Amino acid sequence: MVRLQQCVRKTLSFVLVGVACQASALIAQQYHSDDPIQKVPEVGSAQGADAQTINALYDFMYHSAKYKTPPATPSLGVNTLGEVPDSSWFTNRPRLTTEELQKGKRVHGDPQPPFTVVAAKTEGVTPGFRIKDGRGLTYFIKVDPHTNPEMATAADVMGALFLYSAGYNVPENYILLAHREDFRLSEKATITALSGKKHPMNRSQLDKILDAVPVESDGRIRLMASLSMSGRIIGPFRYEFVRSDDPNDLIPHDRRRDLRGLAVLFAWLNHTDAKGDNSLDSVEGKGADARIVHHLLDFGDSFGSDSDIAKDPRHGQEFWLPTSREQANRAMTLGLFPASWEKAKYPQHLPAVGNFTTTGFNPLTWKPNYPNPAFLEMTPQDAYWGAKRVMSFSNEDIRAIVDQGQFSNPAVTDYITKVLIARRDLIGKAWFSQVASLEDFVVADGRLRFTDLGQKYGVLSASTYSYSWFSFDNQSGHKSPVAGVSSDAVPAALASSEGSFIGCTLTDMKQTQRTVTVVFRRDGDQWKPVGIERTSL
Amino acid sequence: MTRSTFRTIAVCTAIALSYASSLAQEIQVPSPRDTASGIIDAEKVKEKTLRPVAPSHGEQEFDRFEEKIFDPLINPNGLTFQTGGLPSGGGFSLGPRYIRRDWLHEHLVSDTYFVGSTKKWYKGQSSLDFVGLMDNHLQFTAVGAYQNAASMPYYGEGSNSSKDNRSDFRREFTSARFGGQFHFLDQKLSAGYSVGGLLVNVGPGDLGGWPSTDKIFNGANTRGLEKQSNFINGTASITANLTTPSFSNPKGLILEAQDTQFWDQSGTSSSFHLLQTQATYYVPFINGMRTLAFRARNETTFHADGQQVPFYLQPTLGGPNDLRGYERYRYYDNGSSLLSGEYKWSVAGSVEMALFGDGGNVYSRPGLIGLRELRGDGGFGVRFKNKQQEIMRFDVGFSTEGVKVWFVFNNAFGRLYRSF
Repeated sequence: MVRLQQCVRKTLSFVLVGVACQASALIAQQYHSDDPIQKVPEVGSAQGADAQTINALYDFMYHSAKYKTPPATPSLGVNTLGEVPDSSWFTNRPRLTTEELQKGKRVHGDPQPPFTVVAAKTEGVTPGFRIKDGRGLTYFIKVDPHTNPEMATAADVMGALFLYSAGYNVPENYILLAHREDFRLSEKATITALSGKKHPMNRSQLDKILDAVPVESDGRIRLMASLSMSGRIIGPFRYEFVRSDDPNDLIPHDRRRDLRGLAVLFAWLNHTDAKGDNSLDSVEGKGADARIVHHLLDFGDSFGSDSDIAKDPRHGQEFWLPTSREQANRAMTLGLFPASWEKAKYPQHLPAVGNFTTTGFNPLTWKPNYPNPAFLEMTPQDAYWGAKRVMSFSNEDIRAIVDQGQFSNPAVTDYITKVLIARRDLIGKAWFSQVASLEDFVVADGRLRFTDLGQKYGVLSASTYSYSWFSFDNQSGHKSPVAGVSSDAVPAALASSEGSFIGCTLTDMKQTQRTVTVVFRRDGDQWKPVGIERTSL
Repeated sequence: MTRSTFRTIAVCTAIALSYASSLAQEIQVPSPRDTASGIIDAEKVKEKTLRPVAPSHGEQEFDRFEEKIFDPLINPNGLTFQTGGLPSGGGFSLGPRYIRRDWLHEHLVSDTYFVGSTKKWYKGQSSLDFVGLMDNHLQFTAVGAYQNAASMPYYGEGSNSSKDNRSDFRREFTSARFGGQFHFLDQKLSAGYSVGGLLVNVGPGDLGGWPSTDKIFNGANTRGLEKQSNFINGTASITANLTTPSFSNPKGLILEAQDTQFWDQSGTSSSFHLLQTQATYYVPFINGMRTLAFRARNETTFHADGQQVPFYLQPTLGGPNDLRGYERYRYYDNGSSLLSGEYKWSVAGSVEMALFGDGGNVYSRPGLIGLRELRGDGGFGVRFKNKQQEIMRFDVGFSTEGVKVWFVFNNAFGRLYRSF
């Protein structure tokens, strides 16, 4: 019996030591001296990263079949303020001037003639080919459908500019207006046939491709030229998992706030083709400096465009495969009760717009063509972050970028600008209602000051908040409330010594689930916000 | 025993904890409250355990499936296999296929296959297609085929044929033809001509449970049953496709006409010509989310006095492609008319449902074209689609002769069909 007790004691001691080791790792400072982190240090070399592919059909079927709304998980890839630090995925760009908005990532300028065609494909949704311009730069060329001249090419350019300004990495996309005679064929040009085989390309094949390109009133043809990415191309990224060959890729992609919140930007732009295959990773730098940079690609399915045709009204409303009760109801009721989005009125007199409207647009329920794992996991906090990016575009910003679509009819520019403004405001109203949209917290003159974004952008009326102040123990994370104070004035009872922490929870008086807790650290003679947490409806 | 058990438990627990700890290090995910140095540490830990990227096991298996099965079916080139290709009613068929699409810079397509079905129907065909000539305006086709439809249903001639007279016959067609087709006006208009030969053999059916046609019918009431013919034939065709792309269905009108002259080479007085016409009209509404589709089709044979149309080349009605509430090949005669209408509503991008109605009749001579002895049906269906067309459909048709359920891999309103 004694021996048994000894055994038990020994066993427990092993277990307790183990547990203690684990626990010590968990008990740590809540906020560190470098919080909030502004930039993710990415120090590992990705020199060995190899190309990966995504099977588009499998991706579609797998994600459609396993579709269900997952349980909410908190986002990662954020700092203590809930913001996304700069990384190889996302860059917080300061407010851009009109010129910068219109330029975006485009530093190399328009392709310069003559254009030497080096390869073409006959497969795919739209015909496309690859050229080298007069400077030897390689561009991928895409065209518009005959039914909707200017639609897809403009979508690709505008989409890239909006997403670049929002902070993402995109290619340099240009509208290229050129004469047919500017194109010549490389002696080594190849064409990929339907069988997948490559053959030498001849002039008549090139002419056939160019014949399919709508012609402008001045006789020039209009194309979209996307500059080939710099660095070593290693294929698309997935909206889930991490790359096992990238030391800096630590966060499962479906938990990244910059990818979850992208859903809101895509909803705004109606970029429904939100699949992994429309992304591209490249390795920039060499040896110890090699880093993977993650890009978004291919925005021809944005706005009213579905690349080779105007968008189906279903786009943005439902997944391609039936998954909803609404679809089942429609099947059973013989389609006699059309949804509002089915009846949307589109600007048929403006074919360059395609089918782009605000009718039936609900930012809370917008859907890409098929389930995207990161989008499915988006929390109201992620969406709020995305909505802030969308709302940061002023009316003038939007017009400046839409201008870059280079529409020949100014009415098209007007229409798309108007729709984007309306969709932006719907997004602000929808997502700013889910959380308390308070930003820019400062303590000034002994009072807590902030900006109510819903009110600032005119999409929501001002809410009133109650204030619950507390002192904060950074070691334990314990909050000690200050009783009897509910105003924006910082209670005198709170310590204000260097390095001390205080905080305040603001609760919406009407919707008490909407709260914001902001934590400040005393830094010199001012309170510096170091932590923000939001609860949602 | 007890001591060693507890020791084992203790060691295992410690190992598990340390493993969990090391695992946590390996996959340490930075939280919002990590320091920059903490993130760097995690990156360094991962740097030591980098592995090549690889798709999931499921995706790898799918890649193999796509490469071995799906791609050869969708975009075949080389030795592969063929499904389908038999006349309607042949059952599920499968067989080897050798196709080359990469000759002459993809201007010459050679396709040879042989399929057999669960109903013991067979077909072998070899074709050479010269495509994309004259900047896609011209194509030539040479085809040789043998088909053995072992159990073609036959109920007798005319609208009043009795369902109780169901019989089976074997129809063997051996044919060869050569033709050309010209495409105008941005491929909207096509016209062509082909000439060929047709050797026919008709015999007892091979499907158990039904009497052979020659046991119920005779040469007097079923022309061509006893004396079969061989033919030289020539077919002129013209198609105007005036549709524009829309979301669920095309929008607009498709007109087709095809006239085939059969010259009897066996002295059985079976020279005639067959005129087939069809108009299909699609009217999408509610932004293309609903569609009304109409089809009118007429097939009429003309022959000189003293000539006849053998029953195995007569127009027929009944089956998944025309009168959907009736058995396949339910009605035979020298002519047939068909009107079909569908109301289709899109349920999802890949699924469309339909309510349909068909009406048609067969008649013995062109002067009897009309609404006499009309046979009608109605029903509903589900269609599975890709972006461009119906891939498969499931239709249920109701008529006075019962309920028919069809599961087929084609468009409900397909193009004009030639059985020979």
